[in-house]
Amino acid sequence: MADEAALAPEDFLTFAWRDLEFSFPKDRGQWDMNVQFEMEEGRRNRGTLMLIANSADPEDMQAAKAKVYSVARTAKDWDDFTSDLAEFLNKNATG
Amino acid sequence: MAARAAASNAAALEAAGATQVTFDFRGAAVTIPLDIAAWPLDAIRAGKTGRAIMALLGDQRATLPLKTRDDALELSHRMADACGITPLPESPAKGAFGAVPTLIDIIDSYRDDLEADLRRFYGIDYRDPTMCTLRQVWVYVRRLPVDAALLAARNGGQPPWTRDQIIAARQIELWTRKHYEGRPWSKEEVDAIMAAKKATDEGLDKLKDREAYYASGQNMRDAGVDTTGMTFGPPPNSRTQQQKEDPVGSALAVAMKNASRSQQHRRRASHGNQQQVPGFNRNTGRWDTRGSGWG
Repeated sequence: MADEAALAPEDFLTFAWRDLEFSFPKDRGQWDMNVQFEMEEGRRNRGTLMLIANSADPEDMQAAKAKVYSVARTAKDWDDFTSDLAEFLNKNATG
Repeated sequence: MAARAAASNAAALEAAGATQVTFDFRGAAVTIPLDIAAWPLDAIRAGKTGRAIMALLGDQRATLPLKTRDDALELSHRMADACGITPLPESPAKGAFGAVPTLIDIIDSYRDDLEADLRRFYGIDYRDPTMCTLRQVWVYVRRLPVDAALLAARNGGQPPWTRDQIIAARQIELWTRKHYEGRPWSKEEVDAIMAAKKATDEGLDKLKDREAYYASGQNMRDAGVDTTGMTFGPPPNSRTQQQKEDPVGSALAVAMKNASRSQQHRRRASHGNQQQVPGFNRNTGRWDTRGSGWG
């Protein structure tokens, strides 16, 4: 889990999608470094799960995956989710 | 200051024949290869920061306080500093690994210019890359004079502007009252332009709000007028969407409007606008200065 103790509540973004909410730091520099590393290696889905889990811990990632899967079961749903998330980040994330 | 000390330390280590450098990162000692030729340069070329950092750290990874992306990027910059590849103070590092990506780009894409400049300014024959280390290449490159081939090549083939040239161009601007074509804008000028643009945008937004206020009839309702049964729309002189998007259409509309006004004016004149203008003699077509103090 990223160092959340140093961040104030206003330093976080909340992404709401189909009755689900995901919270992670607003500043990209405060994201878990593995999010960027996974993206650099072309493993976008894994990077996305790390971001919404706000952690590189496999258990946290699995929990985040189950959370999304509860409302998004098809590949198209997942594409919609990542597309909406990317749009949200482009608009709201900093750094 | 710390980066400068690290660079001189790197030079001293290199002169002493060391192959590794150890530096402190948030209380933990990190040891990496001193010569960046031994770094995972292909990963850095490909923008795979994580892979490059992990390769450089090896088993040291577990002992380091690394969590966020900022942590990783800072460590990468400290690695570059420790090996003497620090960016110029006026062009701080973007991305990762200090000036290493810039140096790699120079060697990969501007090798001929680099070879020519090293020969011309430092007497180094770079056909044999073992003549100097990559740290030395960076030391030479970042101190090249403005007429260096490398600087021109990286500036679209044009030598960068010197301070004297900029001052001369600004004098011409004062005489001609227009921007000297090609002169780079200073940061202060860009800031002033952006501030003026922001002020204009804010003014336009305010005008838009006022326009909507009047167009909706809210001003009348606020004044206590009963607007029941009245219809409100955009003001009569507001531009159509097509005019907003089409500058030619907009210009034509303005021209037609002006022509129409001009015709009205001529019509009034030809029908005899008998209004007497004080001091103007309509029969002679001249101004009568008598009694005005000018006669």
